[in-house]
Amino acid sequence: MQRREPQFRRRRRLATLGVSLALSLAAASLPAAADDTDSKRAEFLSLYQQVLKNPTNVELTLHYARLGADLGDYEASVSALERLLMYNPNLPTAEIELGLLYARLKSYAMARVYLEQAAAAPNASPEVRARAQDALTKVDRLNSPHQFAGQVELGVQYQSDANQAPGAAVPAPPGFTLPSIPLRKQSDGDVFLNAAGIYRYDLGDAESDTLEATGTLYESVFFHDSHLNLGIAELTLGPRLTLDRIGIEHATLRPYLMGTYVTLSNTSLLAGGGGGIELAKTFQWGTLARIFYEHEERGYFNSSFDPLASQLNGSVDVARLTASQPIGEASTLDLLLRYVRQNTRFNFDTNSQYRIQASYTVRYAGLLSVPGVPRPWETVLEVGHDWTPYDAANPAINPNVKRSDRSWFFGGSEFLHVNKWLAAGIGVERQITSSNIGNFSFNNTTATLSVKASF
Amino acid sequence: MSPRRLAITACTTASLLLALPAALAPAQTVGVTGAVNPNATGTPPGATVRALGTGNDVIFNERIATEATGQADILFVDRSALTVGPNSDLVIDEFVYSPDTGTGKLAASATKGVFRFVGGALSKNPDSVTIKTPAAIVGVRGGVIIYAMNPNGGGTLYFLYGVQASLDTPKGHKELRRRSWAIDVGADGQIGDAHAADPAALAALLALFKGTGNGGASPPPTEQGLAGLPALFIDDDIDTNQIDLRNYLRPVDAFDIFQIESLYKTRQPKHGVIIICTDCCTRNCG
Repeated sequence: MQRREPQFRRRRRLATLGVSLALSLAAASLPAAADDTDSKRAEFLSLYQQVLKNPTNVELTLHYARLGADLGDYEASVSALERLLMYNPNLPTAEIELGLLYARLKSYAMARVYLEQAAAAPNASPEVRARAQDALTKVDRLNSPHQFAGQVELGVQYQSDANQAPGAAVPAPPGFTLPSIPLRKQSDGDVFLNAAGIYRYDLGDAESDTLEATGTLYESVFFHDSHLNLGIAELTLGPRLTLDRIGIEHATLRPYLMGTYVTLSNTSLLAGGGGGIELAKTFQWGTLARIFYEHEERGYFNSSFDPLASQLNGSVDVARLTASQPIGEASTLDLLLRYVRQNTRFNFDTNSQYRIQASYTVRYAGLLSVPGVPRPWETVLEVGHDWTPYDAANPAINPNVKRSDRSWFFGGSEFLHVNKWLAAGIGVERQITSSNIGNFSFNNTTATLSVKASF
Repeated sequence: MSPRRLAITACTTASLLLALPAALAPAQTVGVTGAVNPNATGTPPGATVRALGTGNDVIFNERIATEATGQADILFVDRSALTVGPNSDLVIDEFVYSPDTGTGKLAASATKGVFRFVGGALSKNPDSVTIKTPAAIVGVRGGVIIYAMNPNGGGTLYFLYGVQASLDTPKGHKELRRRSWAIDVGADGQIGDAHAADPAALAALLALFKGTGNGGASPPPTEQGLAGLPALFIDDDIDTNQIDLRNYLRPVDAFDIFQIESLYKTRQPKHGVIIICTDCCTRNCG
């Protein structure tokens, strides 16, 4: 039984406080968001009763359509606006709104018909015509079989313990012939790029199946110690098959192939290849849940920097559950449960990792208003915990102690969205890692300044 | 049937009827006409034909018929809307709706013409909305459809939005889940393959649902009146699809980067710790 250090207990209490704070903030926003939606819903239902009594009241009908759109009940808005066209067939503005509604419903051919009719309407003003043409361009882009999306974050960050070493110098034990290196933590700064992209190709079948490729790229270049430079690239490729065909609504299954390549110190560290399967389902209350299983074989490159890297050759298995729950109109709670099994050539390098992580994201209007961005401010709070036990003791360290690491990490960031695509922000993250082998314990604080583009 | 059995049957039936929740009992008034362009008529059960006007109650089992320029838009109490196009004939066979639970059933029979159905509360539930046509029974689950009947009895189902729409015939069953797609059904009940809806056909169908008169609104809405009002969506933003796609990105998590760094950096002699153990020194090295 390993003795826990008092310092670790203090850190754990601090981290627990952080978790409680994040969850409390999320929980506190739940009732407010629910109240707001409930009151709008009540107004919406009451409006419909008024519409039934007075269906030709255009103002009432438009109010009902607007509230339906606000609540995401686009069918209500569609039926209200289509009724207006029965009163007067020459309403290009109503046709534009219907085109946009059908576009939101991803019924692009129908959207196009309405927008084309609006653009061609003899009584459409130049402004209305231009609006219809602009919407047509958007619809054509969304209706293309080739869909892209991505996020690119470019920034600088400072790490208080960039080399993740213990805080104090550690003397080499007597009798060791291996080099004795004083291990002092070293702060450093780096420039980093964190990018992720997705490409979907519509296979054009009746089930809306797609072929999907994802790409991930991370690169950091440190200011002082280039040994810390890290590069990560990952690619996945596979079809995404809808499961409505077997009675599971709003669900998809994606088998995929994957490849990974990592560099450290500007030298190849590992290359991996394997496959995975993902089950994704959106539930009625808006939760997007995804379950993954991945297996990857990994080979490590020996180098002058790490001549024994190939002893880590082996495989990695990952089982992951993510859930993303929208709360109200502008906030989301994300949860992650993950199990990683790293098999290597030696048991003392082989380990399992268990992670639980939660983050809460909220968008809101603040002091600074940005045209076209109703909620320009974004706050993200996140907290997580890892436990990584190893399979066997490392005889080179201590033949009697199996390494076991625990990490708490928590952080927060604040972004200002300057338009729909671009945001700038700052973030602070704190990682507290404790190990039953003291040399693997360290604390690191990271401060980040970055610009994030979403497309 | 013996008098005793008759009495038991009557009592059982009466008990069942009394036990039936009032909210689930068939409604007499199923909705109102939200818009009507002449000529459209309604024939309530057991009553004579009446000219439909906007704002009229629509009665359970009422037959709605339109002539060449006639149109009728029925707003049901569950917020469904059924637009009956020109030269059409349709009967509301069944309408049961519980506002508390949002459940019930809407069934109609159409013998000719064209209709558009926009779902309300009922269509959110499976098997709750069905429309019988000469060639097939159309099922709607949570959405918007148009069904156009050919003079020969066959037809085409256009699925515009929702979970699914289905066609049932003695010769088979097919479901349509892709939006702006269609399926043809022959007069003999043979169901074709799903295909993308022809935009020209959609435009022609929409023309049938556009007002041939003022729909009963006096004065009717004008373009000038609408153009000055705020749009439904800020900045005409329809990029939700793009945002949906972003949910499937696989970015590197900041804490994963720390993990990778910690796993590999600690192996390096310059930065690493692999050969040194303070715990073992404390306990074993004296």
